[in-house]
Amino acid sequence: MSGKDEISARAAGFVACTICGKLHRILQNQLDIRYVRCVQCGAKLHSRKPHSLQRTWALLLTGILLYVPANIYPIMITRDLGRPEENTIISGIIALWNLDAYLVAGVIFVASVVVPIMKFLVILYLLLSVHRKSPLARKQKVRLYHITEFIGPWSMVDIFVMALLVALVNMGGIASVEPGMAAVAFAAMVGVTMLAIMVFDPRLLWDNER
Amino acid sequence: MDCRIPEHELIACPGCDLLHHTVVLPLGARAECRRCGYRLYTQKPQGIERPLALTLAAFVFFVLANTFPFIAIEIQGITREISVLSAAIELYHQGMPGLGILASAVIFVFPLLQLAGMLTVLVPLYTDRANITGCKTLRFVSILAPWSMMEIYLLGVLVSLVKLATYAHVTLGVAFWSFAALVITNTWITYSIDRHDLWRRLESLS
Repeated sequence: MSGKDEISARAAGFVACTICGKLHRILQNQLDIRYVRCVQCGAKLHSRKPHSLQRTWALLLTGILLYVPANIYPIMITRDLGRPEENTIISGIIALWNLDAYLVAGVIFVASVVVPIMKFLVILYLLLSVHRKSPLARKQKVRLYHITEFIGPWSMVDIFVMALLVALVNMGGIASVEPGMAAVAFAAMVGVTMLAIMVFDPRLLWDNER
Repeated sequence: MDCRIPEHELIACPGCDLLHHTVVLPLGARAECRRCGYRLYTQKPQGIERPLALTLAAFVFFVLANTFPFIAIEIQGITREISVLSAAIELYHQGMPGLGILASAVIFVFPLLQLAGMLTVLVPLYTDRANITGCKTLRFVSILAPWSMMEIYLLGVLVSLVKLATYAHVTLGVAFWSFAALVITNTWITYSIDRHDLWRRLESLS
């Protein structure tokens, strides 16, 4: 395409495979292409990810709901000479801060609080702005989408830290660390929001251009 | 079927679906989508040889990281030594089997499958042989990519070591350095590959 004429693959009658990028020419009467697979890599072909908005909404809400028990229940239980001490994500961060471990407290705070909440807000914003005019240019929205896609998994850091402490501080009766229920909810939240980002189709942001 | 434009000269932007004509890029150049800025494809130097060499190196680091001791700590005269997978195994034994399995998948199984998959794709491309499974394997590797979390695990290791350093004497084992090298090599593989180029090479061979 040269000069100003911009045309999307869909408008030109093509469907690009979401996995390998191979272009397929689809005739108008073949619009129901749900059962067609990419001739190159075998992935299911779809011009836009199927039910993208509904699926993203469902997964986003699940993620937000899971984030509640993740913060209410303890993520780890520390035993020092038999005395159990339960820590939630937030109380763990505060305890680290009070011990002057600012760097560690900061890393956990960003990974477990800032990133998940930012992710919820970005997905919510993208969902709401698909059909609406919004102050951000679409190019910026796509950038937001890719940043969120990239940093999402980094929330898992707190789970790994907990697991490593469980494995390392297992000194029989003297001291031990046990995993708490919040870890399951938190890990599920990370997984579900990663899926929410994957099923969202950024191409929808560009479809209502004219 | 109406096929006036040959499809292989066109590329649709994965970010916004805009059609572009592909052009041959000079080495090291990058093609971005005119509309949304998505990185469409690049011209990497030694697009097969380099990722192949790095994948082989990553395999060596992977084996080392999973055979040697990872970290040892000493608290009040008691020493405890763990391997890379200990964190996941301990979760499994401490009443969280699901989380344990998930953790071992994202730090061990998925990365291993990815490295094996990359070799299956790259070796036939390097020797210029037709490869019927190449496309399916590369699809599998692409889907798996976001679920491989070794670099995040490494950050978790660093954070927990800083946390423990005040109470305990920490010794880093051979596996720790191998794992760090593995993470760096793995990231390097991602940057040495251009997916679009890899797919088109597979296409021309089959």
